[in-house]
Amino acid sequence: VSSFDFGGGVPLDRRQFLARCGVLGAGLTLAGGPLASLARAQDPAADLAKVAAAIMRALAHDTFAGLVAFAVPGNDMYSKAQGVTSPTPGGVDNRAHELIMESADYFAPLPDNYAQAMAAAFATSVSDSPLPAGALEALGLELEQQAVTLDRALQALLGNDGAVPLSLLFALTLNFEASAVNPASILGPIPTSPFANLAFADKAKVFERIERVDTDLIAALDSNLPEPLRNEISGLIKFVGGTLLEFAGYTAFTEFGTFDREKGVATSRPVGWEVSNYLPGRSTPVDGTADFIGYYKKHKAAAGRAPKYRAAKRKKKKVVKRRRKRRPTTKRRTRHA
Amino acid sequence: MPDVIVIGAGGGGPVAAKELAAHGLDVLLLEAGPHETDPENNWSRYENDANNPTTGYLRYGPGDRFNKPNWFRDLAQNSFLWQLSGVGGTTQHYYGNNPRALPGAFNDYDGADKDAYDVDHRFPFGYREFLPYYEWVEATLPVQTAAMGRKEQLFFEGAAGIGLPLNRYKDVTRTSFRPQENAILQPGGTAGKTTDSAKLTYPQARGCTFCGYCFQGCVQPRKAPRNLKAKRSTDNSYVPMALTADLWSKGGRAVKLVPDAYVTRILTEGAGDSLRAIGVQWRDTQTGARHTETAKIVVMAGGCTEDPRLWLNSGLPNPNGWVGRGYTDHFFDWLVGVFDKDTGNTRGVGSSARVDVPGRGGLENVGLPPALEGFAATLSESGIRGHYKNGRGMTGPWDGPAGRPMGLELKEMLSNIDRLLNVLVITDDDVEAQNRVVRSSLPPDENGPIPKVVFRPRRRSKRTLANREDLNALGVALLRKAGAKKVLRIDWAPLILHVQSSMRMGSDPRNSVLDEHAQARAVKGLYIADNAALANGIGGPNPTLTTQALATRTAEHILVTHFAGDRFVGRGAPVSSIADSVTKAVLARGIT
Repeated sequence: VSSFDFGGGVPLDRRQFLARCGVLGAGLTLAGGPLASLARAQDPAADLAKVAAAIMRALAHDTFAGLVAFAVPGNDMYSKAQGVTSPTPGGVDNRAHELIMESADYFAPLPDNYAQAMAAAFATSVSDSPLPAGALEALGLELEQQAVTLDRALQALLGNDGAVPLSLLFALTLNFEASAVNPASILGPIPTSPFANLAFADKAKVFERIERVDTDLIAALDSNLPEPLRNEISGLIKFVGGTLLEFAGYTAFTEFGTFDREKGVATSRPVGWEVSNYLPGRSTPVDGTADFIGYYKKHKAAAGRAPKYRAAKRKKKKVVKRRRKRRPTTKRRTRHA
Repeated sequence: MPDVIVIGAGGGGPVAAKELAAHGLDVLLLEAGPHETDPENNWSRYENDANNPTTGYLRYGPGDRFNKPNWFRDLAQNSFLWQLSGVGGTTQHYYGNNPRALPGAFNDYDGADKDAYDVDHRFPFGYREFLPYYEWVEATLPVQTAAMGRKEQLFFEGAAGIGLPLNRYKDVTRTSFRPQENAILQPGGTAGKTTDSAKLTYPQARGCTFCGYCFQGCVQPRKAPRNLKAKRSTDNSYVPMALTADLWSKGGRAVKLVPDAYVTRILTEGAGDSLRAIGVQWRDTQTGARHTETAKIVVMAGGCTEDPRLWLNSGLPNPNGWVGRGYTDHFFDWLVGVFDKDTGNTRGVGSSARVDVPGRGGLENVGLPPALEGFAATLSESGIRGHYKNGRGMTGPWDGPAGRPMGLELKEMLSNIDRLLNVLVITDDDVEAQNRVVRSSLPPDENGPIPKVVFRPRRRSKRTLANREDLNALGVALLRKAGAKKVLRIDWAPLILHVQSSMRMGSDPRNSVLDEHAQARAVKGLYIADNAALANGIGGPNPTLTTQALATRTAEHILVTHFAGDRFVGRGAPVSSIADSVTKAVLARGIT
């Protein structure tokens, strides 16, 4: 990861980048907590990683909650924030966002590979597309001080070899794009995630940008990548964009929300099962069903070969058989005669 | 020193291993993943616990799934590569669909439609010559005509309703529909007739119990010996036979199986035309210890993505550049029919009905539980319905533009999972050099440089693209005739699941890696016995049976050519994996 000069504070465009990714918002939310404790800490540097982890985890949590609400809305705060709700439970109620985070972060080889590249890019990137005037001030942060702290926290986390949470990189991507779709999203009711603040249609626009590989984002990420990886990034972004949508569609319907990993069973009926009316009334898989009807038109055993392939084989055999039959008969007759 | 080392205990490796061992050879079978020896207790059959690509018990990674991460593979596009490690490989989650290839995929085909296939990449031998190998595997597994459940009944109504004839043969000679030829034991006793677990243990229940969990691994019927489990994944069929070959085959020897053994290098001696494989290096995925083993013959069977990786990581020659090229994936697409009546989507075998269209590919029904249904509905190259099309969003006889439903539309669609009927579009796709495996430029993992899989879905050949469109139209007609009130076309991004031909055999040395016996052209004594060896996408049918028949043919060739053995296919019937002699052997050896 390239070094970053903290000495002169955080340049304006870098602050905008942090705001776009949700980092400033997350810091604001937690300002009374980890940030404040950092200010009181005896050794601020030693606590930086802890603070970074807390802030970024909050950011990722809310960003993915916004994602699963997008995939399968419910009546939760994230569904309400996007303006599309449903009276029955949704992906958030199934803790689908937690499963995405857990799965992404356990995808450990990626941080060692892709993630190092993305982390390097995010740690130093800026955007050429400024936020509207006054947007940063509206966050209410004492920017000079807190932006420095937050930027250090982000860099501490991303610069930690082998321990970059992939969920954070995905969340940063979604939030960065969200602020491009609607810059006001950095000021919404969910300060930890611009993406989660977007209206449903705007969330779709985020994925439209990602799937067509937003050139601004690529430029922002690519500028810091080592040469062999530079050609990888557009494929990666496409992969990430698609995978997030597919994984959101998957996780919302799993048993994860009520699954006891130690016991290997769901402790109650999974939300995903309930909303899909799967195995009504059950929370465990079945050993069988009474779905066996029979065999279609009593077709229980396909013939070995189609006539085209059977006929040729038989013809040959018949010829051989005839010859074999005739010869002994003739001989016998001869003998009898 | 073993006679033969087989790398990979998935769909093909155990077939070659079993045949060679049954005929007296000393075989070492190395598998990178774990060997599950108590699936009844360890496989929960919950979707995420089974299928989560990072922590599922059917993932691609080392054993100890909660403490060791999965093996990451580099994908250069929106796509999903569905690999499985462990004994059984991808057959652990397959649906047991075992149709034969289309005759038009072979070099003896002279039908009127002979130009409708991938004519530049045919198999370097004839379909007629290959038929005895099909029959050998079909008897061994065994392959049986699928029983019908509700979703099959609907599919057949739709297929017959649009005028397709029923095919009663194992060979496909015309456009037609049929129950699948499945490597799944037909239901017997109480199987398929009850949901009461107490009545579904062996031997009261025999064969398929219609539980609906093919994709999560087959443990039914409970208490059945491992070789009598309903689904004939190789961990239930060929592997138990391989491990007991000394007991049921006169003159046979038991295969030595080593799980958690990741092969990192093929060892060779000589150079140029005399370059020869002499063994392998492998790494214990649990301890990290490295081992070397030599043998007279080495058989690669790690799969379409891993074979090229191992080849390239071993520094083996690639004179024509075709190592890893020509990857075919049947360029799947996905149709979802929404009904106002029960479809039985989540019940029974994953797929028991299909349509075959020579020269085009085919269709099959696919039943899914909710999370996989959610995944399948959102894997798209066409954006989000109603919002953006990602440069595609084709329109046609389906409802609205192609694309993924999200939000309320997705939720509404899945609100009653048993009122959906899915149709998988399986394209007869061309071998194309651009679709390939290369070594990723990302840093290596503990086993060496990782593979990168490159597919270009928008640049497929004209024939491939046209086939996919034709089949989609046919699938929609079928669904509507079956009673679907709404049909969604998802326009799947590459789901790399049916994998073929990345180390293809062929008659032309300029575009093939293997000769007509599946031996590497550039390295003597090195064979391939998995889907990578297939010459093409076999015309669209699911590839497992063809791979297993080809692995049998390859094993026979190895036996005759390198060990002075006799041909065995076509000279008497094989021992079935469910024969009493095998069951006795499995029980005697304590294989579970």
